Amino acid sequence: MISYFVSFLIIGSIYAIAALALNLQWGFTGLMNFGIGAFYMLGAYTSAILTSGPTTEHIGGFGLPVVAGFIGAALVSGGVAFLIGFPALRLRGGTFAIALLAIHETLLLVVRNESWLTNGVWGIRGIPRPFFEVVNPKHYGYIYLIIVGGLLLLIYLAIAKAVRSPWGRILRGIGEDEDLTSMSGKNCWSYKMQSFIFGSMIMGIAGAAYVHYTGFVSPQVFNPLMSTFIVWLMVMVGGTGNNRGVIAGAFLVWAIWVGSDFLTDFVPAAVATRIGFIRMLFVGIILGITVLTRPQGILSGEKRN
Amino acid sequence: MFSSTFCPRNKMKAVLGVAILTLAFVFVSAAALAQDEITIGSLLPMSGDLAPYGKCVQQGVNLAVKHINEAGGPLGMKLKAVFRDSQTDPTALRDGAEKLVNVDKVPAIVGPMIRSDVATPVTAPNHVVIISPSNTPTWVTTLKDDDFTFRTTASDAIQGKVLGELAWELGYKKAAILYINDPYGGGLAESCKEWFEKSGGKVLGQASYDPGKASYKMQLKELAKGAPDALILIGYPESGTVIIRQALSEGLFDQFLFPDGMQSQQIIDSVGGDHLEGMHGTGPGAADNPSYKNYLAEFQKAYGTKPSTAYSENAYDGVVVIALAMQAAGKNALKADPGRAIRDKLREVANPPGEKINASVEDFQKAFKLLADGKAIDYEGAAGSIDFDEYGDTITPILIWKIENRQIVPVRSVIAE
Repeated sequence: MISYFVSFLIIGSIYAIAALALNLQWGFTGLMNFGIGAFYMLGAYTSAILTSGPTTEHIGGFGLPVVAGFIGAALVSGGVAFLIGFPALRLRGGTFAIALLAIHETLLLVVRNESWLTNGVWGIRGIPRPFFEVVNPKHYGYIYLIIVGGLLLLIYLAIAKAVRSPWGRILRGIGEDEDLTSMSGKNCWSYKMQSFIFGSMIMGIAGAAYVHYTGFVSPQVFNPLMSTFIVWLMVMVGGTGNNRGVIAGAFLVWAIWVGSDFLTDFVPAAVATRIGFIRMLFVGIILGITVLTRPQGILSGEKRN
Repeated sequence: MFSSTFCPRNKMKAVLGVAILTLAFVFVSAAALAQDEITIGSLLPMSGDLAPYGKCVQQGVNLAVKHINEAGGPLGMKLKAVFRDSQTDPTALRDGAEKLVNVDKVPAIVGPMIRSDVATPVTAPNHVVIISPSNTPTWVTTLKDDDFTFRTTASDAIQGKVLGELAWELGYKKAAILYINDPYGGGLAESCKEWFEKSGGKVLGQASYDPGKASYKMQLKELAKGAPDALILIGYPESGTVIIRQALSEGLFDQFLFPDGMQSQQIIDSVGGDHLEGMHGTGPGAADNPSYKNYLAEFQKAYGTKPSTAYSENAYDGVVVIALAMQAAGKNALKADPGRAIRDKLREVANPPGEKINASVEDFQKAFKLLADGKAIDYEGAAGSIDFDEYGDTITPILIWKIENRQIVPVRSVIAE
């Protein structure tokens, strides 16, 4: 029972990290990033390739420590964001979103097909899990919860501090009214790029956190629903622009997503086969209610004028 | 202008409340476990791409549970199955495995349909047996699983061998392989190529495709170079028919060879005409197996239709061998470490020697009695003989079929090592 709750909190925390990153990009800077999955995937694969042991199936076998994997994940995600930023940041709003969605699909195709690099559709197994030998594998979740929880706290504090700084105020300014901020003599493009890179690096870290928990990665993990849209849902339910809100939103959405499975036990078998669709209905209803009654999200404590 | 992030306590409490409510479900479901019941888990894709499979396989599991209970149940207990949704997604699949292991505390799981390797790190350390009805890739054999991972379907390596040798036997000297870009397609293509070339043939070209595209002419033209005798098409009907039509209309290929994924009436009907007359293919199953015939009849009686997808019989067998292993293990072993007890008895009840047990309620009754008396049994399943080797793989027979008068007709079945 407790073990399950621990595993729930771990995945919830990983999503919360991604949600914080999206909140920085969208909630504060107004960048409609629909390519979260792309950076999440880059981080995941970078760390997996850097840290896994020797293999003949794909490039790698570097066997670097897990910390190096996390750093590599952040650097590669950030680096790719930098390159993508040049063309993509010329676009605004919806077109930016579509461009990022397309980039996610493109990178997903690369990962699926370039087997020498990623082992293609088979995925990578046997990715090291930090401190795995220390305890009975049954109780490994506790160790990892401390790691990922600490990571979440660290990232939360960093982002909370960043958005309160003068730098963060400019981001908010861009999010509110880009032209006005531009007229105040700020180089909006540069700040947008910084926010885009910083957020994408955090998404990469979330990806690394995922692979070092599951010890496994395959292209299937990064389908747009489970890697991009669910994070958007978390941010919108939690409260766009509210860091604590999106963390709460992440756990809440994940609780509904996986918790609805338990409903199967209480309904007749004929209905049970449709529980997957009923879950989607629930998620939709929750989003609908939130948008209608609390457009600022469940934690709307923050006043934005 | 902007106040710092501030969150009122009562709202935080509201969020916590919702979280606790969700957890309450968990407690209630765990408390519902009665004394004389024994629960097994089933981790199936009830939503997502594989939902049609998940639904049909679930029917197979439910049918097996019903039959086992009609036969008296393992050790006189009532067998119950809880279902968790893997959503055709690795993250959800892992979560489902965590639920079955840590919340429902089941000793054995039928599933997952694909990607046993995602569930294994959760199940193996907790001593939970997983029996996949359909996870065919070759790497499942060598998973680090402490022998807790089984499957009631043949490895792609076996079908690939039969398919490759069949191609040679049909007189093809040069062939091209087009396969769907997923673990199933890639694994099967590789082993098929290996055995075709070992037989003496030559694979001129090999290409993968992604499903759902409008045109596959590019791949087909590339593969047609060097004029191969036949196209070995490894995929599923939906895109498979598009590929066949385009190959025919462009005049690139007129000889095809199919694996289990294409063993569907749909391809014959959609392609139309007599273009596929005389084509051969492979698939799981034995041509004349009393267990399978009985299974089909019972399935039809229970649900009013034939199984809509493959693998429901494999799941049925999974449930049955778990129940038989429970009976063989006895109450004490089952109390001490149920997963290990089941694991240790699976081979005893499924493999020879012993009295042959077919898939029927009467035979299950007989099996429970024989096991109670300490006698050996050998379960002959609906999906094949179900004999587990040292890796937890089964060697199920491979059926060779051909298309005759626009129908799929069995030719013979082969048991390959």
